[in-house]
Amino acid sequence: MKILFSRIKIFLKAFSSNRLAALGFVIVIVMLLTALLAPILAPYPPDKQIYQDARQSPSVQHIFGTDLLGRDILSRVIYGTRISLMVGFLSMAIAASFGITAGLLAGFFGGWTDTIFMRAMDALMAFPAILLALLIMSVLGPSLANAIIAVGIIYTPTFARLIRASALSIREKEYLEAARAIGMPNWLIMIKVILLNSLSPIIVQLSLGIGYAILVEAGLSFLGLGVQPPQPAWGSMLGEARNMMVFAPWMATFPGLAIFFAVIGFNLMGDGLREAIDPHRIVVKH
Amino acid sequence: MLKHKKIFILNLYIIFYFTLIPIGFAKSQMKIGLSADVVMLDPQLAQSGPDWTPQSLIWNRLVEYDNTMMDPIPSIAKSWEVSKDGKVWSFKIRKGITFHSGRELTSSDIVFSFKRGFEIGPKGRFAGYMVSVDSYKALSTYEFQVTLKHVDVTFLGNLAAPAAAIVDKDTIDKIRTEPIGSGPYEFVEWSPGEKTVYRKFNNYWDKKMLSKIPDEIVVIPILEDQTRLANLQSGNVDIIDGVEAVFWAQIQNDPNTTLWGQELTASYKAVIFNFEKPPFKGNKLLRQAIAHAINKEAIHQTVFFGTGEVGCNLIPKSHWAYTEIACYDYNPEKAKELLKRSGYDTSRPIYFPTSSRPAYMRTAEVVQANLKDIGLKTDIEPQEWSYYVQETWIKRKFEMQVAWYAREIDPDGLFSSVLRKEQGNNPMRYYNPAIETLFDGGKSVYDREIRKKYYEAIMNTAILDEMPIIKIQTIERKWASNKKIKDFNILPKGLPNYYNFKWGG
Amino acid sequence: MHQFILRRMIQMVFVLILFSVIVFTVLRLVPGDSATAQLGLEAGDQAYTELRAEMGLDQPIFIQYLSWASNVSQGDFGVSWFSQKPVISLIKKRIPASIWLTLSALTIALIISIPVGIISGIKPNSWIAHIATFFSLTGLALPSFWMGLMLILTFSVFNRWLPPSGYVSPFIDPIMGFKHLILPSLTLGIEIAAPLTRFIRSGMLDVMNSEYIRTARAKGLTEYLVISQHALRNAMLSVVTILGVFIGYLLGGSIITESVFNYPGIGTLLLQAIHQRDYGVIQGIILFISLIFMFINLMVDISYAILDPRIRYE
Repeated sequence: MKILFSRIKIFLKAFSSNRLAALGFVIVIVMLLTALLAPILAPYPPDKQIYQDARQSPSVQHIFGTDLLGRDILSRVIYGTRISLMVGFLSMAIAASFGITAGLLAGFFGGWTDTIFMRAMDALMAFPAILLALLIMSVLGPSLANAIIAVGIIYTPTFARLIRASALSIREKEYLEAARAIGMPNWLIMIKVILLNSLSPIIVQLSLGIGYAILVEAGLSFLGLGVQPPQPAWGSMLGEARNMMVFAPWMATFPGLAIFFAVIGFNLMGDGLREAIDPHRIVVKH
Repeated sequence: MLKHKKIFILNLYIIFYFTLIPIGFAKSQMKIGLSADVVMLDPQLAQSGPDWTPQSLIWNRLVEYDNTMMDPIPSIAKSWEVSKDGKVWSFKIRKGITFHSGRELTSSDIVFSFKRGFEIGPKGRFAGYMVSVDSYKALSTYEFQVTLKHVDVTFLGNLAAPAAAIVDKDTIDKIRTEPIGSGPYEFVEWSPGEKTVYRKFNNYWDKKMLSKIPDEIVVIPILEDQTRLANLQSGNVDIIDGVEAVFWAQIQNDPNTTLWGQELTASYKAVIFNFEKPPFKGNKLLRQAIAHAINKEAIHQTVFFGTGEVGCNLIPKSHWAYTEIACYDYNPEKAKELLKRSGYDTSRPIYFPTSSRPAYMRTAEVVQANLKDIGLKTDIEPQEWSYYVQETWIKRKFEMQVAWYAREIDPDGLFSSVLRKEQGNNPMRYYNPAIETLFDGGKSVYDREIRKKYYEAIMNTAILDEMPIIKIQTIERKWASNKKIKDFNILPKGLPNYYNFKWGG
Repeated sequence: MHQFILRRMIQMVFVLILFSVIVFTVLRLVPGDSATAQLGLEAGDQAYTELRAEMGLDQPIFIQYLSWASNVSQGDFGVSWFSQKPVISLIKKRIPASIWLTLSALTIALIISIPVGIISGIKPNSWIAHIATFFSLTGLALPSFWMGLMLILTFSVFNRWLPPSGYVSPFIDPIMGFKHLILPSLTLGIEIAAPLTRFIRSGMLDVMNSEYIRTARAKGLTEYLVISQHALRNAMLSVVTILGVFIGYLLGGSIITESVFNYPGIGTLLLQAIHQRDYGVIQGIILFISLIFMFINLMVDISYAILDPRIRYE
């Protein structure tokens, strides 16, 4: 508990001194609020089609304009926040669970377990992410859930490596001996110590990973593996608009900007957090 | 003196060779940007749109399509006659047609091609087109005869189908890699995903056509729509296919580009129902409810940008066989009432898988919204193309789906494979013996007025009453080119007429 | 050291085999196969069964794999079903284009990320660093196909300055080759500039705060000398080693950029093969990319060992 609080303090300090990170944090909070308050914020239901109003440029009635089928783009972007955040959070949850487990096993047991796991992780990273997602989606079928699983699998090696590095460095330390002396079982010690030690880098990776997940989802939609209609995902909205960029630029601009800010927000926040916890970072005065 | 003369003549010769010939005989090259690459070079196995290009350029058929696809033009067959009972067709073969290898084409090649086409069977398209053929033989070196099982007025037109190409039996083993045909162009190379190159065949039998076409044709697959158009506008290619409606105005307003369209289109989009299992099996009221619920005008304006023609008759309005039938109007109130009477449990969503290609998806989304308005839930599942073909089309794992048909222009060819028993375009597995008889009747007479009646009857029974398919509208296909192409015709099937275009480049 | 390399190579082979088995199986589980792609919509059930038998796809997966694997071990990667061309020659044809794109994109990325990374490493909280970092993140956050299409519209359609797509080998025609390369490399390069910047920056930060630098400062050297002589060199060293990873990513992962620009690299070859379920080509390319990537990884690890005497592998 105490450790948690000290971590939070460190993080908050990061935001106060690093303006970019603070900006990122603000963006993320805005996104979360938008997702939560979507039904209140959105002027129209996201799937309401008024075909007579299709392809209209931004106006008072439709602040972001309408799309090909006459749906209000602002409402769709707002509801799309839910999908992006869901994809981001859930896929990272999957990646973290698998990755941490793999990293723990590899780091703890070492030897052959380590080799197999790590080579498997290498192999996974060798694969271009988009391709992997494509293949996974092709087998499982295109749907939001499967996209989440696909991104989760892609990002697993990042967490695995992180945990393993931490596990390896901890394995040799003295306080393991101490804990053993008290009588705690080995694996419990391992998990507790390793996890606590890597908590900060994990959080950093989670933040960066969410940004990454949002990008991958957009890429998948571009390749034709969008979410199930009528769910309004930013990536699919971009894909729909790809022939309209000259004639109806608003159709691509607004979802594109949404993706842009989301990714920047999570990345800035993640970078800021990483700086805050970097042990090398003695305050360098200039 | 003699020596000087010889040198002088030699010099003249050299000058001529290096300057005048290149100037006078500069190669003209036409570059085509297509939305997809060639899949299969073997004309009797080819099944996809882009394969049409090698099929037309490298090979000839007994007859070729004219611009309306209703009046075939003599090609390998220079004339023909049919027996009094309408079942025996005799063709006189043109003399002097050579394959690219130099060998003359005779009736034995035609026999070989027919044999091969039938052997390939359902893996190709030939057998399907020639379904009414009973027997065929070579009467002499330049005469070929076909006996039909019964009168089939579509037979002659079907001989112009790309799969009815006459192939070279001597080089048949290399037909997929180094194809040889008798067509106006020779195959030079195919670099998958990059380009296909064709070179004019100077010994082609139709000298008049030869003088009007480019020396070389290069086909470049460019999958991304905007990029393909950009290539045309920047001068990288001379003509492109698959021009989306959103670009039409821009192309027409540009003085350097021309938009080419079809006079008549045999393409249409429809919603189809699976008759093999519930909920649509045996529930006519449910199907009729959906027919009243679909807002075709909305789809017309949004998905198709106001192009094409809305209608429920599978035959387009400007077709000679068209008759006005009492289509279902857009009436959500009536739809709701029919839905209630149908007894369908509206808490259960209908399984509505669809191809993830944009036109399919957009149409499905509008239909989904329309159905939601009357209280019907649908589960749209976007599927990647091969996945869609395999699961939804071949294995028929659907309850309802969006279909795109691009057929022949003869009314029989237009939709017999959609409504007849277990045909390739009938995944609904709709079957009605009365309809079968009507179809048979329809292609047994030449009189258009009589045929019209047959098809009207089919429409009334199949389309209005039993409704395995709800047609939404026809689809227009357009190509765009720069000014080097003076005339270009697109067949009702949506594919270009390579035997009738004017090149001025 | 030799033992280490040998062991890694053996591991690589095992992983490649594992990989190929997984990919092989997954491909055959996905609905739709080469027969579907060839026959399209209208052929009947019988046609599919016949064609599948011709293609050898009706045999148990295990047997199909064994025959493919034994061919591969003898250097025969099979042919593309549709064009009947050998897989190896198809891949070989695309390699130069992919390499050109990779190298140009990397160059552009380095041009952006080196200055930005260094500045934000030296003065992490300055305005310059903030702005520079933000801009480099822009490249990451903008969807690459959006950027690609925008570039095409700007430079090829509205102004006819550059060709919109395609590739010409710079060896054959340097000017045209360069023109074809600019837009796709810009798109790709901007995309990877951000992660690269991040890496350079953390490398600089590490070095700047290390004992090595403190010693240099203690010696009394000016800040400028400290940075240019000592910090930079060490930071760049770590960058060089990470370049390998980025090259691996670029070679296989530039699919979206390649498809927008119709660039004939390995990415579009793979995309087309997946679309057509051309199993031989897919398997061949995946094996190829994995091999390259693992090889690069190995080189990176070896160079780490050589450069940093503190790291020793048992």
